[in-house]
Amino acid sequence: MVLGKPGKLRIITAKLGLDGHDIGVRVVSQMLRESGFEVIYLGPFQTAEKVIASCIQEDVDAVALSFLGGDHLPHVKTMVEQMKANHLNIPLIVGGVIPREDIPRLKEMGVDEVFTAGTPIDKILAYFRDMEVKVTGDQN
Amino acid sequence: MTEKLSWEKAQGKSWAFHEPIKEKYGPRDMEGIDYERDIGEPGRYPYTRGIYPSGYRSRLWTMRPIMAYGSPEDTRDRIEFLSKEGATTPQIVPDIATVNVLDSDHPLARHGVGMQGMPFSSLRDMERLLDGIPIEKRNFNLVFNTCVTPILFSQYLVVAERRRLDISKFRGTISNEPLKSRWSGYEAAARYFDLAMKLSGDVSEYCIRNMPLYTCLNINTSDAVSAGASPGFVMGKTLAIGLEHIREAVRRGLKVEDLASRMAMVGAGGTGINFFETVASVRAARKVWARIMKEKFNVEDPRASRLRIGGLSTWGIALYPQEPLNNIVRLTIGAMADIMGGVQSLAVVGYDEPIAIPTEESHRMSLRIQQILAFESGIADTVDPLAGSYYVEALTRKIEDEAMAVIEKIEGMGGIGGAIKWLDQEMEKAVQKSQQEILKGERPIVGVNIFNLHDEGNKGVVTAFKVPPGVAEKQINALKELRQTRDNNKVVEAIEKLYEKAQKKQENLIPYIKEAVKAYATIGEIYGTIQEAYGYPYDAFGMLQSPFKH
Repeated sequence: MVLGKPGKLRIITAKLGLDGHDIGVRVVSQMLRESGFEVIYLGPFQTAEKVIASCIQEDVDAVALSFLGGDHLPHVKTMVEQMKANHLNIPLIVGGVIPREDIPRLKEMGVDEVFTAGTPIDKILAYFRDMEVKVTGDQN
Repeated sequence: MTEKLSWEKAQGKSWAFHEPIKEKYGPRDMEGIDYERDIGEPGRYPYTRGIYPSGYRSRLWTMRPIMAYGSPEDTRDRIEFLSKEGATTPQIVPDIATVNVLDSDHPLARHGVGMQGMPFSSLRDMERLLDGIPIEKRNFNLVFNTCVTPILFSQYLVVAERRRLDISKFRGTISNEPLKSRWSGYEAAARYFDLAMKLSGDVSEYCIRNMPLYTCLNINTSDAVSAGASPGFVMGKTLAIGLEHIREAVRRGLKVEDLASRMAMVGAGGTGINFFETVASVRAARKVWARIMKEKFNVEDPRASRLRIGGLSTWGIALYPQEPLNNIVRLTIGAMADIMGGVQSLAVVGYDEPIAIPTEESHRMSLRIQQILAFESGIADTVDPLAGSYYVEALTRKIEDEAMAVIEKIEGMGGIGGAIKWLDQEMEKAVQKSQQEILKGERPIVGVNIFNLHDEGNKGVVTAFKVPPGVAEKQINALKELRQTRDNNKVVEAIEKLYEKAQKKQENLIPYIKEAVKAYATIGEIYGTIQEAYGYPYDAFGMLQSPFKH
């Protein structure tokens, strides 16, 4: 994360693995766009390698993964390991169908924030606006 | 948090239609509706009031919990558990690897093995699932929809054949509807329209010619309902998909009635929580289908005109992880809507559906909802109890009109194939509109965006069910062993025959898929080969090369 970088916050959103239920991530991505963030949704069926390569290529400020199928723990573990191996030091956000008891485990792994299904959009927007201020120094 | 009392603003707003709900409905809302002509007695054309004269008095709906997770043995245990508790017909779903037509040992599959369903990589998995279950007596609802369907169906047929059972006496249902995969997250597994229609048609044709009692096509509203589309759009799109399959059958020299009489539909036009719209959508769907049969095809055979509908107003889309016990109420309302609409079968999911797959306890509870409604509430005592309600009849007509217009529009574009781009756009518009309403708090959800003062995420007493650890590893090891121990010459022989037949695009492929299944070829090998024969890549995910040389 480069402090004081000008411009909008850039975020990549994606789904790892074989679960194709992506209504939630499509809608949240669109709402973030409409609120002024730059969002690239990579779609479902991604691998950690592909998502990380896109993050590096697009020089994004954050990466958000959406899950529904109960396979979030192993996928996030791989993602975090590969992010470290690739020196990709940006916040990782997880959203979707995540059992409450898994939230502390995800955070221990290195996930910055978890938004479960039904989270009001205001809360998600506030989180990214805070991040934008930190990253870009832009108070608008 | 949404602003205080936002729900007051939401009152009277229809989430399905772009116009407000009236304060009061009365005789004027039924003007032009003639009872005999437009509603009809139960069991008579146009079947608005139901397909049987006496409704649930003669046949109660069948109770069909959706089940399957982990290994085939885990799934068997759950089937046995729920059957003892009164489930009539298990709905079996494949795991997300299988749905995507990937073997358990595909590089993308590892974390998807045993998740959201059970793996069916080869005949071995089907044998393990059905071991000791008398499938000639036990009806299953096989929820196979993507292009994996003909392969899993062949696995099922091979088990029957090896037991020397007479499949002409089999009852049950196979979903077999790949076109909606595009909108339900499984696009990769039914990507090619020509191939999807060919394989679905092969399954239907095989059933029609060999299994006269079997339901071989179950068109499905769930993708459109999940998108939040209006009930008329949902029904129009879904029934237009039914028409697409009817035409495929006709191209094969079958009669419209041959397939129409073996087709059913699963899902209403609403999420269930919007109670009256859901009831009306089920009533309207039956009428629209009967009208299409008569007006488009001149078919009046009741077996073809009577649309059997399975209730599914109660799956995850209307449920929330926050305060999960509230979902019991939502599920009950949804189940009541389906029943009041007059469905023939009903699946009610667990109240923990938006958190994980159900525990035994929540699974049993979901069945209890149906049983309490069936045996305690009196809801099943009289047929179509909401008929004649000004509001319900007006809604039914509205949904019917909208559905007919959507069908005409799709037909005007040359069917589903020609309408795909339009459908994509409409579905995306509906998704964004309906979900944004909820996320912005415009559409009130109790304990989620209103009355959620504590804001503690998914608070409540629910512990998420976890698929037992080690399932994927065991499954993958078993599959690797199978690849080494099976007679690989037989596999190659069956695969080459299948490739040759698929390339010619003439014969029904089921007999050749069955031969490959018998040789323990995997779903990935079989579908990859068929895709190659059609000129498409072996692996839809671009990670594997075909091990066969054609």
